Amino acid sequence: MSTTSSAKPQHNAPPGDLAVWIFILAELLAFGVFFAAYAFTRMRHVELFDAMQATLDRRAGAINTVLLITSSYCVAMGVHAAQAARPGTTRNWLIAALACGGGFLWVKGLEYADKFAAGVSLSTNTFYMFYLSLTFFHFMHVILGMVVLAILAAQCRHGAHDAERMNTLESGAAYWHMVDLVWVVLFPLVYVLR
Amino acid sequence: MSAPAHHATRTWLLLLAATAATFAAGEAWPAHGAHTAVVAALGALTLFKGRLIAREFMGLANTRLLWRALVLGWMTLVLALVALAWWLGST
Repeated sequence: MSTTSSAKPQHNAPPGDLAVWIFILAELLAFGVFFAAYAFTRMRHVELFDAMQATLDRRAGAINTVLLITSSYCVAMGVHAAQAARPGTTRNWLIAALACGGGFLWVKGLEYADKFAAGVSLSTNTFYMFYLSLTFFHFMHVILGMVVLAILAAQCRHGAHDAERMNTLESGAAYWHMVDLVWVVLFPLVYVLR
Repeated sequence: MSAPAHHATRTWLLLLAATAATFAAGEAWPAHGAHTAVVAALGALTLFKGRLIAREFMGLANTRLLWRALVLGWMTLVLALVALAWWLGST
């Protein structure tokens, strides 16, 4: 269950399916290697990375952070609503999360369009190779997460999620929160630190 | 609003505030000196955000320590490697 309070009893396993959590840990490991590779490559090209970072739209990165954090909040609230046996409310929260995810894709798409119009590609330089591949890898995870959220929202019509049947919803929620967690590291690393 | 939902709202607001602070640091980056302090502060802020997401949104606050250690250990390791790379790059 998402958003637990300290008064609740301790559980051995995390909310959702154990297999999904193993998948989440594998994803975190992959992103972790990517982040470390970015940082240690920058170490040898500090001036290039700082100059290229200045060409990024930090405001767009911040807006996308707000959108993903808000979508995670909506998903957590949807899980609460399901625990309270309010499928309509759960569905509305999931749709709100989907809208935030769509906003993220729109803002990121505008960023990509701007860069591609300026002739930027994977082969432009080392910074842009990392910027494009790292953010696009995350972009694909957002799309997958939105597909999962859409399925979960559709299942609400059939009363698939309630206090006794939380596993599927909690698994999807955990995956979406992982997508948020990764962006929380990616934003300062790529857009802010120099 | 139930107590857990209240926790989620508080977590969301804290995350928004931390994001605003991160953005502000990027806009007001010092031209000379103090880089190490700003990088350390942003690392701590990012770890704080990750801890909030893992504990309150992912629901790991009341699971076995192992699960929190795996997620927060990942984040701590990644941020430590980034800090090391930044430090090596500045020397």
